[in-house]
Amino acid sequence: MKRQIRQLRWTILGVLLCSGLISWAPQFKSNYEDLVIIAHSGVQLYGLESKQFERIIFAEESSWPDGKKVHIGLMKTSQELGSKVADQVFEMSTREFDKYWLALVFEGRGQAPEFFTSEADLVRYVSRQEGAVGIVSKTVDLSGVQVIELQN
Amino acid sequence: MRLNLTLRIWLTVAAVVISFTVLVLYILPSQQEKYFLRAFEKEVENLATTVATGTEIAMKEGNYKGVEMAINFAKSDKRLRYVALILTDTIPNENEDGFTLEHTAMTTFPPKIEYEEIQRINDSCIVKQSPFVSEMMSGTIMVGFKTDEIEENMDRIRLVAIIVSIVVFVFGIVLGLWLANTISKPVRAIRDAAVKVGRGDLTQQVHQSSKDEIGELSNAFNKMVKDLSAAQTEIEEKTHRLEEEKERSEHLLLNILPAEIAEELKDHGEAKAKDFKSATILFTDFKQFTQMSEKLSAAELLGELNHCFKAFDLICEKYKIEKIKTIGDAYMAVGGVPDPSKSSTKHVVQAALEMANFIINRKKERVELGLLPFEMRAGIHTGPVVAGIVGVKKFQYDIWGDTVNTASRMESSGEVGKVNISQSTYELIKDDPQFTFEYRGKVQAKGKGEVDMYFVGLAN
Repeated sequence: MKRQIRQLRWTILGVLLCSGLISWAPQFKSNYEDLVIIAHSGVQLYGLESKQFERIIFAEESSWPDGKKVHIGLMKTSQELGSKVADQVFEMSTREFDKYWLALVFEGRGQAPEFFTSEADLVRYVSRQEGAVGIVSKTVDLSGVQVIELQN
Repeated sequence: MRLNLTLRIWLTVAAVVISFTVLVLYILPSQQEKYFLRAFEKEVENLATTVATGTEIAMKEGNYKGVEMAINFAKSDKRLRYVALILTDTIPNENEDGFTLEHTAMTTFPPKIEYEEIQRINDSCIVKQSPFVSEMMSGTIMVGFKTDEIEENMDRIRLVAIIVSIVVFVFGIVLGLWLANTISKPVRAIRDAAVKVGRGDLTQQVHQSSKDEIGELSNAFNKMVKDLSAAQTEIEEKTHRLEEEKERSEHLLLNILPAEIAEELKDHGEAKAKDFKSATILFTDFKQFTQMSEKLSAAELLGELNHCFKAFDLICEKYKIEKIKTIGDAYMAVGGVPDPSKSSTKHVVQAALEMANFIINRKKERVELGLLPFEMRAGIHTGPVVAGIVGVKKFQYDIWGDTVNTASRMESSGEVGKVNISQSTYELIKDDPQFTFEYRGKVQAKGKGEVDMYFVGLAN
């Protein structure tokens, strides 16, 4: 009986885990209240669809449509903006967010983003690194970068 | 058990080869495998630690470079079986009275390996784990590396070891042959030569061109044989000289002593006096020798005396009678002594007649030459004597007894150119047709009174 209960418990745990994983699946939204997606000025964004950008920001694709390598820049989850991006953009808890990137690196599926503690640094990184993309708050100085407007 | 040199060399070489083979085939590969495994384990352990440290940094600082670099480094190694990040979660018990630790494989490379499967991967695999701890999560980095390559390397090492062992074995055989050839063979050659030398063949030489101890031994042996040969030649020469000396000594001794007495003297250091029942003694004496010595020079006198006595010596030798001595101009010889079978009375009489004839002929020669001639009387008597050697210096074989005196009286009672014999001598040869006898009647002899005497001559 105990064994059956244990099996049932594992089954439920498995179902929950699967549902959790399903919930990790990126549900990308192109418009956020106070966040903005920025990219290096040299990135060709024309015709970039939201689903394509979703794969890029989740590091599932490593190149832009023009062939340039993607470099993702994000705020650390220890920062308020970082946890906000994890929650709103990636729709993950900070723990899930960190695990996501760790798994990505472990499994060799892509390159982990550069994480910053300062938005200004992040903007500077995006402005300087060819092919870079990042998410910052709308209030920050966005000079030197281009803002991505996605087509749905 | 007797081990000869060749067998010892072979056993030594075999022991070295077997020891080396055991070392190369078993001990060295075993040690090498242990070393490889230790080094490999350390390497894997370091990698697990590096990945764990990179994970901690990634979790704490959001910097994934370290873990990425470590993971990429691990991936680039074809021996990598897997690398896994195992999360450790603390789960409350059903009754909430305690906790259990739950391990799950959060992420792996290659992807999607379950923790249970990781637990099962043990065969031909080295697994090392290193813990990591961060605020967000804690767990273990597990790294598994295949040991196939080590096993392949060990197989290669064993193959090389077998080849090396075969090479060493072949080399050992060649070395054994070479050693046997260069050590055992020359030693056996020296032994064989030594055996022949021991049998007396001093022409043996061992030919060795090597400059080592064997060569030195051969040279020393050859020198020894040469020295032995030289020593033997020297000994032979000395022996030959000694034999010559001995021969001369014996000849000299035989001139002084009868052969039998000389042998006895040599064998025992002395010659015992012996009684002879019947010995025939001859005395000769030159007439008026003292007066003649005044007319002749000493050299001429001695020369003539020597000439005559030498002739007498030869006559004695011819008839195998024993010259005893000369006393001044008198000559004394004896028959039947020391070996009665060698000479008889007849021989003594024949010798006396020949001596008398020699002096008569000599007289004619000297007269023809205008020189003063010698004239001689001879007397013979037969009777018992004692013969032996007296003294240790300048000794001589001599005879003693009344017979000697009587023989001397026969000589002094005789006449020049004739041989005067006693009755006892006459009795012994009177029937011999070779002789003629002239009875002289009883003749007065000094100290003997009247004695029957005969002149003896040769029948025609």
